[in-house]
Amino acid sequence: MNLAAARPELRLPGVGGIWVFVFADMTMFALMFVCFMLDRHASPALFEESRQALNRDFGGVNTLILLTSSMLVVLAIEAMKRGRPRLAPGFFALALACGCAFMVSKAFEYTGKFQAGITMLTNDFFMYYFILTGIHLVHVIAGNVVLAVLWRKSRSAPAGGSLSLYESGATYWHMVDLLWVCLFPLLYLVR
Amino acid sequence: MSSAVKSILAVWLLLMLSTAASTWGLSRPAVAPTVSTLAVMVIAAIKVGLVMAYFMGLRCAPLPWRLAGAIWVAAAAAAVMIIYLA
Amino acid sequence: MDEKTQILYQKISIYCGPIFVTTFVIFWAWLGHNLPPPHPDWPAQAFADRYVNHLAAIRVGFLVALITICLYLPWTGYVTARMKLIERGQFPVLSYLQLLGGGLTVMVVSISMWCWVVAAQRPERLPEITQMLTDAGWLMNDTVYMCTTLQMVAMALCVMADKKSKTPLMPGWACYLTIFCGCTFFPASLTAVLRNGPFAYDGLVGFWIPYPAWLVWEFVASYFLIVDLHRRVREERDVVEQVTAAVAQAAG
Repeated sequence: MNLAAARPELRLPGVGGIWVFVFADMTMFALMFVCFMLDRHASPALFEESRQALNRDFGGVNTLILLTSSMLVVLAIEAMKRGRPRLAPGFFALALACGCAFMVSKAFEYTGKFQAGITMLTNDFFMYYFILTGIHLVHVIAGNVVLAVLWRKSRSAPAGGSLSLYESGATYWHMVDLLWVCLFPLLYLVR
Repeated sequence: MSSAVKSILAVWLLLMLSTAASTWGLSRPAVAPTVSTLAVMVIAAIKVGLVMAYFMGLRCAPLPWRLAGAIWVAAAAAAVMIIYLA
Repeated sequence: MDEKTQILYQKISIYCGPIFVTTFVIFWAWLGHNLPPPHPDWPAQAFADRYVNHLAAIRVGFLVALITICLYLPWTGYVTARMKLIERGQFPVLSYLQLLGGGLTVMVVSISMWCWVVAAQRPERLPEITQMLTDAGWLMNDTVYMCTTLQMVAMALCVMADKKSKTPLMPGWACYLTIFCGCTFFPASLTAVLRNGPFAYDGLVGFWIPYPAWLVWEFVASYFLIVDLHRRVREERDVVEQVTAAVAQAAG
């Protein structure tokens, strides 16, 4: 008898609409990346000199934080899929803790800049730095709200229930992570 | 530990290590700026691809969505790199 | 009012949406010389010159657009009534929010154009005054947008929460796109601070993303609204026919 391996069914996690939102948001950010690169091309010396004022360690650690939080969200949903829903709230809570750590780190980073007299109006590089990371930070704050909701709801989620809400929330959070994976090298490492 | 969890952890480890390499390795003055920048951009594109495929589940998604993801990564990376090299 | 007339006014209300968008593009964008918008960092004289050089077109453009912007009102009215069907009960809060948001949007865009009409009324004014009036108009649109965002979000949330209809008013992806388009207005607040680059009122993020997003959404939503209206009319007619047939059978 031929035991062919069953082909896993192709499906999009969560609701389709959230993916439309995600791709639209990502496209807007990609356009802003291009704007940044074009303005950088026009003033490479200014941009490089300003980049030196950024703290690479903050940026790198923030990337590690968000990647870890994304992983934790994946594990939370995996737990719900495998009939171990009791593990999910813990994972969501840890992911939320990471998200909060990112916000705290950002607060320190921005404060440091302000104390050094650097603001969004200092020059074009810092305009992009504050606005791109600022818009991203707004996404992180919204994402933390989403994670908090998923944490609360997963505490009373029945085993085998619909995962649509969780997968949709997770998709949004992964987008937030993915955008930072792009933003960090773009602003901090391109030289 | 199921194989799914193992692959998630493996991908995460790869993402973390490549982040460290870009942030603290390739950024050192000893590495030429152009080499460092292009390498960092390529690594970032790969990381985004991994997040899309393994974390977001696009690996098991219908083809149109996988294409959309691939096109975004390719277009964004290409645009940034072309302007950088111009 | 008999039903045929009611349906007629409903259809007219929905079509006012795309008619508004079309006239907006012709009169506000093209005749009004807002495509592209003036550059905020131009010297004041350039602002004055713009009115002097295109005086007639700018006057006609904005005076007509000030009238056709109000076609957004019947559209908003219809959407409110349609949302109330979904919300049911005594507290159609999302419908009211949508109604208020749509009405206020008309005022925001009107006041913006009014500033430019004032500037065009006396083109020989001091250039700085003309520049200020032009800035004021743009900043009205770009910073007072929340009423529009809330109108759009309310509509999206209401349609997404509709569990009873066989076919929802808009598909899920259109609802999420509505929310996204509403959110593209937020970065436009930066136009109040930055006068160069993508975040200025002639920039990618200050103009080229949010304005088309709103207008395209208006078209897409109108399409779904008219399809939904035809479906509703058809379903009601089917029900009436079935009831009539049943009564006839019972009587016969």
